[in-house]
Order: sequence, then structure tokens, then C-alpha cells
Amino acid sequence: MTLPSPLAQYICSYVADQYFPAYLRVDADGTILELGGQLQHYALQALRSGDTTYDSLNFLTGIIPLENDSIFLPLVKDQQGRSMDVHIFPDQDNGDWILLLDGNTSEEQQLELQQQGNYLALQTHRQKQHLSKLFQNPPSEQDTTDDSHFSALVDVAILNITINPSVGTAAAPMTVIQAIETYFATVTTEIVERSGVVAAQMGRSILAIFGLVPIKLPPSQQAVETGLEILRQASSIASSSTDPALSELCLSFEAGAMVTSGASALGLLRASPYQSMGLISPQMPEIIGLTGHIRPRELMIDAQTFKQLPDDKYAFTQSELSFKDSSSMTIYSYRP
Amino acid sequence: MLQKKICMVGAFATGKTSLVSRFVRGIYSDKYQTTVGVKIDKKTIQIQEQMVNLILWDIHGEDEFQKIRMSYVRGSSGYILVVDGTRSETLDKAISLQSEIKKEIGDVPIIMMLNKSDLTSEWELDDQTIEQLSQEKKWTVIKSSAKEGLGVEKCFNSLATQIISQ
Ligand SMILES: Nc1nc2c(ncn2[C@@H]2O[C@H](COP(=O)(O)OP(=O)(O)OP(=O)(O)O)[C@@H](O)[C@H]2O)c(=O)[nH]1
Ligand SMILES: [Mg+2]
Repeated sequence: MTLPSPLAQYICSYVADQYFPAYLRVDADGTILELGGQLQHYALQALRSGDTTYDSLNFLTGIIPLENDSIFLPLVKDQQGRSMDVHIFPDQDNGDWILLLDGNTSEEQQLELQQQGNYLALQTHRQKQHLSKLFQNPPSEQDTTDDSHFSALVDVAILNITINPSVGTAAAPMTVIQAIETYFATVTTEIVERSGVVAAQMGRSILAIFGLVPIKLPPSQQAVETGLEILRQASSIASSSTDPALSELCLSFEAGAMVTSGASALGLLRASPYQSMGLISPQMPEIIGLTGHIRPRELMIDAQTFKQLPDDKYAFTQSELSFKDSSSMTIYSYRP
Repeated sequence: MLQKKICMVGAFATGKTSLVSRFVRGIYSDKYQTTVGVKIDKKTIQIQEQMVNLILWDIHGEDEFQKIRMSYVRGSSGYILVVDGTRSETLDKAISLQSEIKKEIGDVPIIMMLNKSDLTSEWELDDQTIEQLSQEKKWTVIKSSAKEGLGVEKCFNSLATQIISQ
């Protein structure tokens, strides 16, 4: 391809601006024959022709002299922590060309995606491992032929995050739904990062279970910590959307949270070749039923959860929730 | 002085960066910070009266979305296949990576590290499978823990020795 010269020039100055190109030509034993470009960007400004790349560019060890074709090494980070894209190709007459281009921007972009993806994959694996341990008792011979199920009793805490989309909003219902989705996507990340499992998302509530993935803290405390963190971060969670209209709507949501704790039966239903898992928990219907009592910017916990928290860590105040059928329930609440 | 390139390869989060950091700087952290691209490090060691610079290529782990570029392993004098003993699928990944690398650079010394040996209760590999594998493939297999510093020196030294005596 031959480019008209204005284009070629443009590309040249674009690359020079964005990527700090530096180059070297080295002979078969790594002696520099010529060099130039923005060497200082790579802390290579002290190099002169006649010097060796043995120390300063030690990653060339084993690679040069090139055997035949050129090599591209993206995002090489040297001991000084600089990221560079390294292109190496043979000179027609003597030695190999080494072209260095800045890699910091693309490294940053890739880092976040890769970190999140890998972290989630690790969490999922730990969760599977933990669950399979709960069901370790190998099924007896006669069981395996039949449909069968196993169950295990586990201590879990359930966290209910409920938002109150302001009624006065002029936004179309679809937009509100979209905003809720956006908001919950971020809440979900927060939950998963803290080893919770999202069990359900229903309307304006999201339910997460703690205790299915191994964690250092007791499930109830982990759920409380997560709930508090989500309430504390409500505004940054809301502004995470790149769409300003959605962001603004999210900001008007006021999140509240509730945690209940107790033993639940975790069941594994096997109807070969399929198997499915379910959590049978008396708390589930309870916490769903309490959704209407969740108040904005407040974390409520039940007595069982309160009992399991360390004594002086949180300043919860006790109160009674009364219901239509004139029954009542003791709860503890806290506003971060 | 002799200078040799050694690559660390394996699935993501098996402990490649932690092992290099333990070996080169003697430090370890529980915090997971994934590697993008490749991080170069250097350590000088002595093998039978001979000083050798090891140029360590800590290559990003392979995951569902990202294959390792074979250009990274060009010119390696040997490499370390890192397996996370608490995730058996990382062993399969190491085996498939090895056959790809072999196509690229041929036969060079290999060591397989079964890392995270401190996490015994989560261990997923059984000794018999490993024994069989090491006999069949003729690899040196070493259990290691970057966290507790076990097997780390031994592994790098043994690989360097194999490289020198080739
Ligand atoms: N318990 C334990 N954890 C370890 C050990 N080695 C590494 N880890 C942990 O495992 C996680 C991944 O370690 P890294 O060294 O970043 O793994 P990596 O293979 O470089 O990961 P990528 O760069 O993403 O491919 C980190 O949280 C480490 O703290 C070990 O020997 N024992
Ligand atoms: Mg790494």
C-alpha cells in the first residue's frame, strides 16, 4: 500500500504523539548499530551506538538475532514498570530493527476487564468447590439409580437491598426499569466481590445469600458489612452509568437494606442426567415479606443476625416492627 | 555472564507472579493483581561455580477470552508450567499449553509447579495422577507454595541446572 504523502505524514505524527516511538538496530550479538526516537520515554537515553543491549534490554535475550520472520511482543513491562509494545524485524542488510511503542494506555484499558473477569471466575470456582464439599457424602449404590436428593444444613445470611424509585419521576416506565437494571448491575458486582450469591432480583429488590462461598467472617457479619457498604456507596453506585439521564435517575433512588440469618437447608436434586440445586430457607419468604418495611438509607437486621455480630462494632438501635395482624417482630436498625 | 530466558506459563491466577515475586524479592501478597501482557524480571543465581542471569518472563495467564501469544515464548531456554493445585482444570490447561509451546520452540527443559500447596483442604489433584503424568511426560514436578516459600528456590534452581547442563 502506498499512501498519499499527507496521509503518511499524518500517521507518522499521530504515532509520534501518541506512542512515543523509539528504535534501535542491533547486530547478532546485541551491539547497537544505530538508535533514535524518544528513547528517554523508556529510560534508554543513556544508550549509544556501540553499547550492548545485554543489560538495558535484557528481554531480547534468546530472541535476537531473529531467525527469520518478525516478532510482535505486545505489552512488555520491564523492571522499571514501563509497558511497551515491542516490534522486531530484520534489516535487509545487517542486524535487526527494534521498534518500541508506548503501551501504558492499552495496558490500563485491558487491566480492569481482565481483573474483573478473572476475579469472578475464581469466585465461581470457590463457590462450586464449597458446595460440592457440602454434598460430599457419596450417594449409596441404590440411590444413584433412582432420582434422589441430598441436603445439607448451612448457616446463611440473606441480604435484601431495596430501592425506592421516587414516585414523582417524569421518566417513562421503560427508562425507570433500565435505570434499576443499571443500578443492580453495580450492586451485583459489589455483592459478588464480597462472596455473596445473588439469589433473585424482583422488581425493586435484590436478594443475596452469604455463606455459600467460604468467607473469613461469619455470614451474618459479611452480609451486614456488604449492606452497609452498598448504602455508603449509594451515590457512586448510582453515578456509574455512562448515560447521564440514567445516572440522574439512579441518583434519585434511595436504597435500604435488611439482613436476616439462620440455618437453611441446601438441597441437591438429582434426576439423572440433570441436577439442580435449591436453598430451602424459612428466611426467604420472611425477608421477601419484609421488603415493604425496608426504609431508605437504613440497614435493618433481625434478632438472630444481631446476636451474631461482634459486640461494640456497630451502633444498632432496637425497635419493634408491627404488622397488620397485630403481630410484631424485634429488629435493629442503623443508618451509616 | 550466561543469560537465559525462562517463561512462566499457565492458567490465570495459578500464582505465576507470586512465585516470581517470592523468588526474586522474597515477598508475597494475598491480593490478586492480574498480569497484563508480560512482566520481565531478572535474578542472578549460581549453578555449579557458574553465575547465570535468569531473565524471567511472567506471562499473563490464559483464560477463556485470551490465548497466550506464542511469540512470547520464542527464545526460551526453558519454562515453568504453573498449576493451581486447588483447581484441577489448571492442570489440563498446563498440558495443552505445553504441547502448543513445543510446536513453537521444540524440546527445552520444563518444570511443572503444583502451586498453593499450603491449601491442603482445597487440594484437587491426586498424587497418583501426578506421578503417572510425570513419568509419562518426563517432567520434573514440584509442589510449591509462593505463600510459604516452599519449593520455589528448588524449582528455579533445578530448571537452571537442566538448562546449563544441556
Ligand atoms: N494460598 C496461596 N495462595 C497463592 C499462592 N500463590 C499465589 N496465591 C494467590 O493466588 C492469586 C493469584 O496469584 P498470582 O500470582 O497473581 O497469579 P498469576 O498466575 O500471576 O495470575 P495472572 O497474572 O492473572 O495469570 C493471588 O491472590 C495470590 O495471592 C500460594 O502458594 N498459596
Ligand atoms: Mg500474574
